[in-house]
Amino acid sequence: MSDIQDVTILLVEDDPGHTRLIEKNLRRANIKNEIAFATNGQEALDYLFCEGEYVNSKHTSHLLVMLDLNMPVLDGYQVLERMKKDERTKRIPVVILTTTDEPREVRRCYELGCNVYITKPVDYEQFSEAIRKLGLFLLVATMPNGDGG
Amino acid sequence: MAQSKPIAQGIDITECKQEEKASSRGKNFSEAVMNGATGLLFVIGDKGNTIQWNKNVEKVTGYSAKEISKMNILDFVASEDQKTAAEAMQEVLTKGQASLEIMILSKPGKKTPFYITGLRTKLENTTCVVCTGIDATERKQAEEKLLQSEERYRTILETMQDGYLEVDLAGNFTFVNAAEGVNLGYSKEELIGMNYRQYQDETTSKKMYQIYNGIYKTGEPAKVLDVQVIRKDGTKALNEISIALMRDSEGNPIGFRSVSRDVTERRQMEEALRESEERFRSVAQTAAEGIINIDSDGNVVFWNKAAEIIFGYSTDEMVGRSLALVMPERFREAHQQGMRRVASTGESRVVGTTVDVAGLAKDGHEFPAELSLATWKTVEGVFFTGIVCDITERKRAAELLQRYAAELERSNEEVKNFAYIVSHDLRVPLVNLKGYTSELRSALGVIGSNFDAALPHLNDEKRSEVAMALHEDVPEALEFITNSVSRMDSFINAVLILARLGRQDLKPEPIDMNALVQSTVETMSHQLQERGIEVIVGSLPHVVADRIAVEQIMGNILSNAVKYLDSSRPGRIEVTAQANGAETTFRIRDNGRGIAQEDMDKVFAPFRRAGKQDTPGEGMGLAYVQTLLRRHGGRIWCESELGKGTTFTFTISTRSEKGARDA
Repeated sequence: MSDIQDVTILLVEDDPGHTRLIEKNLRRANIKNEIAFATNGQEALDYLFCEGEYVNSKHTSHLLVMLDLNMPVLDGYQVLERMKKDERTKRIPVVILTTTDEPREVRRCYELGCNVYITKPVDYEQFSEAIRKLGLFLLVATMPNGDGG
Repeated sequence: MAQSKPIAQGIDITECKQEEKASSRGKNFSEAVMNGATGLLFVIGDKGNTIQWNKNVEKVTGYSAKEISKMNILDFVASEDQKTAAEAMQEVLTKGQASLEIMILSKPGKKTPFYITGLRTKLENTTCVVCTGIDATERKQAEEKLLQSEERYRTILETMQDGYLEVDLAGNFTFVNAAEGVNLGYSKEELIGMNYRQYQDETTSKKMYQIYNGIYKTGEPAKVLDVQVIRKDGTKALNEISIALMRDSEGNPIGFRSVSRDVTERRQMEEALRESEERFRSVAQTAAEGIINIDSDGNVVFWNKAAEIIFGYSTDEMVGRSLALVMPERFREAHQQGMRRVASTGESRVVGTTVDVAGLAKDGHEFPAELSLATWKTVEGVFFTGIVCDITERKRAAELLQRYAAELERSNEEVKNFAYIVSHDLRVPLVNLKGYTSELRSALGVIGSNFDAALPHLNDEKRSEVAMALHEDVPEALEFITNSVSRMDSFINAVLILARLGRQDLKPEPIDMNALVQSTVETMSHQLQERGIEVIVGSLPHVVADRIAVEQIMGNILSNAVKYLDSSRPGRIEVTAQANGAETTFRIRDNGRGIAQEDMDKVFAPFRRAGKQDTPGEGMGLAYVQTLLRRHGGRIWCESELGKGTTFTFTISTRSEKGARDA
């Protein structure tokens, strides 16, 4: 079991405004963890599997992925699917954070193995509240070992 | 007469017998004469007792001379002729002569008809009778044959359909059969004695006179076609008459016999046939479809103008040639097989149906064609009529239509997906707009709280300007942005709902509409009581539909009705329905404020609200309703009069499972 403090959050989000708002609100929720950023699905997978741009890096801490669904190159579903199929990444918790609240999309994500599905409310107060609560949730959650072994 | 000779001989014989000194030569002579005579020869006494006879008597009767010598002439007569024979005997004795035909009965019981002539005479002063008899068998048979033959001809004449008549040389009827009477409308009796001119007009009778004259002169029979005769009732008929010269036994012309046939009907039929053929030809020639007749060998017998145009072959080129010529090579074998099958079994897979085939034009181009085939039998065999249409254009149009339909479906799908995707993607910037507006507001708060510290550095004008910007302009701008974003968000949500309604799966189930409408009304009961609104629900049928959808439909229409009531009169809303076969029609009528004619087209449009607005809403309710109904294979429309009320009518397909495809 690892302490939440040691967990690096990978925020996969193509919209820089959203990225910034999420980051701001996480920080306000007292989340001090390291946050890594990916602007599309491919980048996220490269990061996770230490490929491409990240070929020489090595994850020193455990990971938690916050994943948007509608993204260029590889979308959130594809990232989620690849992660859950791969022995190295299948235990990494995934929080879907997206504007979509379509029931069948939600169902699909849970079927693919996401851990939490959060819809980004357009109303900012609700948005902030949702992120804050997610932060609080993360503070109390117990994470599995993310190193695949 | 043949009989007179033996009688004379008989007399000679008796005279010879009277000679006491008759020489044996004379006796021998008389015996020779008697026995040489053909037929029977008897000499009998006035009581009928036999005196003398020739050998033929013994031969015919089978009695011996000894037996005959003891017999009476009547003993040779069959029982049925006994009376006649006795009377004839009396007649001979009283009048001197008699003749009769009787059956001679032989000893073994064989009957033979004989023509007997008796002649009274004196023999040695005793009255006696000389009888001669001639075998009448052959004559009797001949007579009978003649009788039969006559009977036959009479029967034929009377039963035949053709008229038979005989006229004398002057043209007067001497004999007519029944059919002729029927043909002319006169009775047989009326016709006898009439002249042929009496039932013909002048032209015809002149012509007939010439013909009769010709026959008279040449003796050759003639056949005259289409002789117009006038029946007793004045109607005209056409006869076909065969005329022959009639002669007496000396060969002199005595008149004419003719057989006539009423061909009026046949001529009419021929005419009708000709007309119908004419009509067929004119129709066939003007038809836009190719009309082709082929015989059972597959050879063309008729080829109309359109066929000429379609295939490029002229009638002259095609008639007599195989139809295979206008078929692409690959179909010819199947065609020949089909023809053979029809010829042998009389069955065809294509006769009576319309099939798609391929045609081969003279210039070698192949084209899709539609062929309807019929078959007909005549004495000359089986024929086929094919009606051929070049469907190149139609096929092209159908393909085009199909492509359009597919494109439409695709673009329909795209629109739906578009609405869905756009509404999601539009949310992304909205989150930012909202988020950063809010961040700005917080930042403004920070600036505002530190504003006082900066005041001394500004002059009065600047100070009020900054205060104005800080406390009024910026917050106002932020407020407008926030409100606009909120509105945009709710629009997007509405579009999203609409897109979702068009995509979500429907679960058709039987719904008790009475219960559903009651519970919908109950959810509004507070409002209804408060405003004194009366809702009347008629007897509603069951429908098979998606329950949630129907709840939304009813809820939207009813809440609209309540929303737009006229406050100046007590509200009244009526829900009725009628099931009629394939669909059920629901009607929701209110006495509300009504919709102006110019607003009617906005009623079902998204984001449109008609009339004066005093109630909140996005104007999406009826757009949802329409989408849901379309998905149920239903329709909705509305009738309204401003100031009087509105009626919404919608249908739901009774077999909703089938109708529940994407609208």
